[in-house]
Amino acid sequence: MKMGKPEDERLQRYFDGELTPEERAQVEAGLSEDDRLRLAALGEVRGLVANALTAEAADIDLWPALEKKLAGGGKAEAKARRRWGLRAHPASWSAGLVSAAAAAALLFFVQPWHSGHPQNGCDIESLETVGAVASVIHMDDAPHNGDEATTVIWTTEDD
Amino acid sequence: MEPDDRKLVEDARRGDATAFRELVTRHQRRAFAVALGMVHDPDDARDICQEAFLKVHKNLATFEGDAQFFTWLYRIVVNLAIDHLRKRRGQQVEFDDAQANDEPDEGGIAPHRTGFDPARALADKELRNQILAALDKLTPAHRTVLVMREVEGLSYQEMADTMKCSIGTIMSRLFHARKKMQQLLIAYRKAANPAA
Repeated sequence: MKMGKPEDERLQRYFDGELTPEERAQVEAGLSEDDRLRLAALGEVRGLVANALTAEAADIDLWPALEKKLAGGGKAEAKARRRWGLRAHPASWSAGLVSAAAAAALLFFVQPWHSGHPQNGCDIESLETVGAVASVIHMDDAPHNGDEATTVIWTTEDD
Repeated sequence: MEPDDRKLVEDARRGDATAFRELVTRHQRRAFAVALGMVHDPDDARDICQEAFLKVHKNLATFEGDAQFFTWLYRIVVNLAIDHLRKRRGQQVEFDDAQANDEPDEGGIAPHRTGFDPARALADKELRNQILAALDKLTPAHRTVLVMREVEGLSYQEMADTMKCSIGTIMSRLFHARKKMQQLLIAYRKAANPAA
């Protein structure tokens, strides 16, 4: 897509203050009456757009919602840590997760400990690792993630 | 004397919530005006601005002291708005200039006015709605450059950097956006006042 005539491009650059002083002087020396009317029209469009958007924004106050989100962000993170039994030290969390995954794999390949079919859509319903019981939850992500599903191993630690 | 943005950023970095609040209060209207001009929907514009300020807050430590705070915020707002438009339209083609103009290139800005006094747009809600509706009829690429230029006065180079395209592309988009806006506003003026 191209612009109109070269004069249009030059006039626009003049209007937008994108010319050198020498170029500006040349344009000003050669402005026709139509050019002046076009410049006025450009100024009018600019004024209408800028004033409309500025007026629409006059009463905006983002702070109350932002303040909640900023405060909530910190609280949510702390809550998530508590919920998932995460500690400040990522190594201990990783170690726990590895233990849980290893236990889950072992149970999967050896034998479920109950004869009935688990009710959670997984092959096992719960497992015990490092002295703590962990729940196994099947999450159907299909609506968001195609045919994907997620299995969550949920451990709880006492504070 | 009010502290400048740099001082407020430094204070906010140290955890001063009052300083960050002052930055929000100081720049939220300009940010919202830009976002609204781009996405048209006030709720979406509000969400975009909130997300932009949250990103700013999260990344205060990376802010370079010699940069302008608003330029930084502004780029985040524009990029979030562009992402939003792409998701909303479900396609990237809207930012393709080959698709951006369905009219012949002949003819520039018409040498006559729409007949609306720009000052009226400050007080006349109906006129503002018409201007916003006209903006919404532009392609996202055209709307974005028009808002960047007319509201914030960004240079061609700044706009090219923000939109990651050439200055020639920016000039072309701006040219067609202005022309289209003028045509839409003249049509609205004629419809509202056929005798004019």
